[in-house]
Amino acid sequence: MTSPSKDKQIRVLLAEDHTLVRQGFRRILEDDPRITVVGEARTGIEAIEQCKELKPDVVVMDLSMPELGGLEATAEVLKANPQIKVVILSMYSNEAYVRKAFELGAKGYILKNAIEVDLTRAVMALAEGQAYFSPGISHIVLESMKAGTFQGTSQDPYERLTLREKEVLQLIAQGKSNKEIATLLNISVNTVAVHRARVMETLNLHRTAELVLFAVKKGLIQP
Amino acid sequence: MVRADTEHDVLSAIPSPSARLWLGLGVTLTVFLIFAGYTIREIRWLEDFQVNVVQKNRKASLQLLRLQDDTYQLAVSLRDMTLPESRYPIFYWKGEFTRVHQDMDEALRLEGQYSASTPAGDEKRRQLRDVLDDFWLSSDEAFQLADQGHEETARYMIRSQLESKRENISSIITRLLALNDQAQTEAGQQVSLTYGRVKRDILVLIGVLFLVAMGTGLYTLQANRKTFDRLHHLAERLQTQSEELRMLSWKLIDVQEKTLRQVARDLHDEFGQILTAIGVTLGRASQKALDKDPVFVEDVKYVKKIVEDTLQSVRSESQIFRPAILDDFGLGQTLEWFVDQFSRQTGVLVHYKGKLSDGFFLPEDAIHLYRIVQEALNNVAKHSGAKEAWVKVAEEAGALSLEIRDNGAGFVMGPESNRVAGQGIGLMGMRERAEHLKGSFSIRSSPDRGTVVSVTVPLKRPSLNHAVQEVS
Repeated sequence: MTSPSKDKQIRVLLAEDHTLVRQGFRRILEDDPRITVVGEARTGIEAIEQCKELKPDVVVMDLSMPELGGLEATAEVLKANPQIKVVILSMYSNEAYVRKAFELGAKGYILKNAIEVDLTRAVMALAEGQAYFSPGISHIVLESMKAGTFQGTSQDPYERLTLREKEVLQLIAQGKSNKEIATLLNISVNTVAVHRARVMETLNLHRTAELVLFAVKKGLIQP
Repeated sequence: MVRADTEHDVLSAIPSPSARLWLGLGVTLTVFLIFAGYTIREIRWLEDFQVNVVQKNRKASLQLLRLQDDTYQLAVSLRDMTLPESRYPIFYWKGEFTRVHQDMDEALRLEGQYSASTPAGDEKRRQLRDVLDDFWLSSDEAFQLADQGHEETARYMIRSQLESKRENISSIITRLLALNDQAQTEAGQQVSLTYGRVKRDILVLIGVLFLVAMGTGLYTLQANRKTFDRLHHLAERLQTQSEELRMLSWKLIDVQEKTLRQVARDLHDEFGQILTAIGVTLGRASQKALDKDPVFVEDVKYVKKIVEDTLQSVRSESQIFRPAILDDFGLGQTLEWFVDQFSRQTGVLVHYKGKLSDGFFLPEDAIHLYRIVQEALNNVAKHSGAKEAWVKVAEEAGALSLEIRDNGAGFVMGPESNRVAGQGIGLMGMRERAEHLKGSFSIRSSPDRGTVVSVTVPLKRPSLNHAVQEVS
């Protein structure tokens, strides 16, 4: 196994909401002398902030975190720092999750049940610029590729949004304020702001009125 | 509690107006019959009265006039008989006198038949008969004298006696006529009096019938109003009760959903994560000891397997309670995933057709559509014996339509109470969920023809005007 630089440590940010699990991951990662865990995040929002601050090489991102999920956080992190590599950690091997993760720019997807082997390998692979799937995922990716449903990036920018982001777009188009949306979806106003920014970024729109127009064109609201 | 009384009590509290209506009808008919009988009697009496009194009186008067006419003829004859220049002998008038005598007797007999008996009238009649008898005796005497040749004596007798007697007769007849006329007037008055009474009676009858009918009508109206008020009240209460029932049933579903979500989250987030942490640590331990202690590594691997199996159970349990994919990817993908899972677990081949736009249903609403599909397919697996099923989802005309169909045994559609208890509750739950989303739910089935569950739910698609106003 070769590393990009013998003396340069791979700097990893660990985003996982559950403390026990996070500590377990940290121990596994730190067992490898080439890896340094430079930070820990418990929510997607924290992950985004930490990335801005610490500029890690690799982010190990749990899929389901409170407030902002791993998928949205991944997209946001990559928007600000495209050079950062993200590996998604998940309990689910559903095709939907895997596909979305790759659509949003994740380079790796590993399942939590084989973590002690996969975690270090995935971090190393990503640091070297490769992709990595857990063996349990590979067949899904392959089947999807065969069926033609697996695409790196969807042509329709709307399809690049996560469900949460689509919900937020729908609510924005209905004229709801960030505060109202936050109450409706039971998340913080900051998180709504992140979703809103992500939606505008993804759809390449810059004003609320344009979002409303887009929603009308999409048939999300009636003209 | 006021609520405790049942519908039966409310129903029995409505008094039936029938008894009083029957009574009203009975009273009306009785009054009508009594009055009708009375009036008929009055009219019949009037008829009799007219025939017996008035007609007879009139006939009697005619006879009296006949008598009077006879006396006038006698007067003329008596005058001619006594004229000095008369050229005819007295016996010449004898024939006429005999004829007038017969006529007057006949008239008197008839008058006696027709006349009503009154003290004054009877007295006058006796007088009349007496003076007539006297007159005829005198006239016979006069004719006898004339026959014996005493013409002048006879003439004298006629002049001195017969004429005055005739005048007496005439005045008595006039008196009787006057009496008859008086009786006639009185009878007329009585008739008009009776007519007036009958008229009044009929008016009273009509009035009483009108009042009774009006009373009955008003009572019916009021009874009707009361009945309708009570029915309205009853309907309102039934509606309230059924609304309360529905609210309760909805509350049940809502609480169940919240509980399942919480349990799923706890299972996944707490136990799942702890098991993951244990698994991770065990994995790390075995990695570390890989070359040093093979027995330890074996044991750790064994324990790790147990942990992983447990984790797997926890995860699938949590997915059954509440699929995380619904919150992360929405209804469309959840249905695809579920249908696939279901086919593999039950061996029922489910064909899924349809594409759903995301973002129309928040997970809190989407879960109900998911549960409907879940329940319907569970019924297919449990009851229908079908080998194939079809799930169709479509968006059209601002609504989402959902159809779950199978080719199984089906069942006889009937009152929900006739079904197996669990199935009925399942159907009720599906209906409740559809109605909560302002949609409609229907189920069609017949033996050996399979079952079709259809749900239509409006898509929440607010209008632009509304949105723009709020944005600005």
